Amino acid sequence: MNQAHENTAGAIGLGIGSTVMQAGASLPGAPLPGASLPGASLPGTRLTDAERNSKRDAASYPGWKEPPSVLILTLDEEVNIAECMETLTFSDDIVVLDSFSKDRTLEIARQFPHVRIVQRKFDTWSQHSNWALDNIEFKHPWVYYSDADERMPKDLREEVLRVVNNANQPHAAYRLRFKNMFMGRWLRRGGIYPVWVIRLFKPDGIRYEDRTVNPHPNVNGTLGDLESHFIHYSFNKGLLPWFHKHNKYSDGEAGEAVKVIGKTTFWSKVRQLRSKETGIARRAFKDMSFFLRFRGFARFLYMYFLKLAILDGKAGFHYACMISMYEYWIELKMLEHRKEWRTRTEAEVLRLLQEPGNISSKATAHINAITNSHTKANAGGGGVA
Amino acid sequence: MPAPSVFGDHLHSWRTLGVTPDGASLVDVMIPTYNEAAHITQAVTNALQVGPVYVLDSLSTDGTQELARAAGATVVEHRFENYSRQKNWGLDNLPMRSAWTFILDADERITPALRDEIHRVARDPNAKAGYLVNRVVIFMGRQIRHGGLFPSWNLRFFKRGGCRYEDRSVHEHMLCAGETGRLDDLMLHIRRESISKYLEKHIKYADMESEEWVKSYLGFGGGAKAESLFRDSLRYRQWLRRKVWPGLPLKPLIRFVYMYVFRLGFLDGAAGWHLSCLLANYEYMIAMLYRDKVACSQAETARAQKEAERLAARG
Repeated sequence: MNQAHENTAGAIGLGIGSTVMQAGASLPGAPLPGASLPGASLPGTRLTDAERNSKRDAASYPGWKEPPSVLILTLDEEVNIAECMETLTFSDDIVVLDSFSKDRTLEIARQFPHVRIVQRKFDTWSQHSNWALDNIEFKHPWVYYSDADERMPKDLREEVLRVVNNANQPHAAYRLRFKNMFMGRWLRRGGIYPVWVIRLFKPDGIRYEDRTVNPHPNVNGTLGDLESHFIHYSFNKGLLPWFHKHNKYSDGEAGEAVKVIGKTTFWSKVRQLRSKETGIARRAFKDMSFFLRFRGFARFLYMYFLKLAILDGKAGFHYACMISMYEYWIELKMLEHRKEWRTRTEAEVLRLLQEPGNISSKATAHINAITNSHTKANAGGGGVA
Repeated sequence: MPAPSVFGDHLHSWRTLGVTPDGASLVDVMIPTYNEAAHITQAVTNALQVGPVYVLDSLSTDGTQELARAAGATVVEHRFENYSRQKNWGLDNLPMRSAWTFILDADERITPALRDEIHRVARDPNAKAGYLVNRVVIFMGRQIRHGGLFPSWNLRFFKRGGCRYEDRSVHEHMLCAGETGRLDDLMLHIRRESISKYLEKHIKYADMESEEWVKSYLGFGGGAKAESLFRDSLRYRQWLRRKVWPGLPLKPLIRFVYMYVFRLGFLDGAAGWHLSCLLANYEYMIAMLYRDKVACSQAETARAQKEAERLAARG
């Protein structure tokens, strides 16, 4: 395996130190002898699935001359990488930018033709992506970006090829929508669709703003829309991470809610709804929800009936349930702040551990101090003496 | 002596309360721990009223060991495998000498009345082999007396060597050689962790429980055999829990209605409501994780097959 060490820190000014680039098993830009189609194999060898796919793809849209290069960002994606790459083999330049996976991701990626593997330590999403755009030499002028849990269906592939091979197209980048899959089905309703994201671009056409959350690309030119969707399997690594993640998120939300309730009123937020600035109005709408009782139940009704998740079958039902469970967790954590359950629990324990008929005056004083500090003290909480 | 507390002036020690005529201890207390720094000092102090305390620690990283030693316990560390194996290891290997053993969790407390009852039973020549102890949960500032959470009988007090845990990774049960009885007085189970920690625990348990369901779905789970089912109610309930319950629809809703309505959870006020909701959440997470794991394992098989084809085709 070839290894080229290069210090890129100075070159791009991101200050991350040296990175390692590895050329993978298949070298880019070196079509196999005698092959005119990307992905075609040597005569005499059996075709792999991937190669069969690319032959078929080429046949289904005969007019195209050049595919886009493909960029895939990975970290421990052994579950997803093969299925993802199978839909992308129509390109003869697939770059896997890996953040040092510890599983079989790279081993699997190398089983595909025309794959280059580049490794770089992940810092922030925007710096990582910008580094890729600045430092990876793509074979083709257009790049299609994909996450490992995304799949490109046939209609999108054809649309991408049409755009890429159209010399007169005016845009620097294209955005498209995606179909979120859950329990084997597209979650179309429930208020989570459509979301537009940029996936097809010329490498010098976009740069990511340096923000830690929700980095937004700046497009150097105009932005076009693609009609087709890609498929997004956000639950492929199992549900367990989802539960843990939303336990964390609800901590943050509840903390914020307590702050909001502490310093504003519901009606002042209603007034802010009419603000001309979209950011403020949206914020106000969210803040208003903090004053709501039975958040979980309300969110379920909203998603399932108002936003019609009911039409998405079992998947829609369970997604609505999971989100409303998350909302309930937020509500519960808000109550926890307000009612000081923990202090009251300790007072009750102290009371129950008293020696019968032999009450320590010190302990009684302690218990009374705790329980009296709450207006809504538990029944009998102060009644030791 | 234990660390001073607000009860320091009235704290009793097993040395005055729980000894045989020749001055040896009546009961040993085993406390299994993992990262219990917040609880351990109080737990050891509380348990020292009953007998010498042995903390069986699963290599904590938060200083539980030092705190336990400072509070007066003997600390032995052992790598954790699962709850039942860990505790069985402790029962076999801790240098416990008394005729009786009591197992206490770090978030449990023995009330003064229970302590006295334990000592009374340990002195009784006609005592049974093991005793179930009733436990009341203290949550959201109050005792939880309904919702099916009370009474909660756990076999925790037994003649040394007489009982062992059945090998199961979660919701482990104890199997006892001789006859068992019940103690009258209460043990406290303190739930004072934050909701966030509480949920984290529920997610972890749901993960393990769903793993058990997958095992029994694949046909190699441990569990009660049908012929021994009706010997006692505990085994019957185990069988329901493992073989019948996973197949029912609307489990979270059933759980909620059962707890909040049938088992009178509403009598515990807001705490009863939220506990019922949280347990319904827990039930829901188990069911979803189970479904997900079955789907994932099927997808994995398909993936492996495709990979083999890919490799074969490339030669």
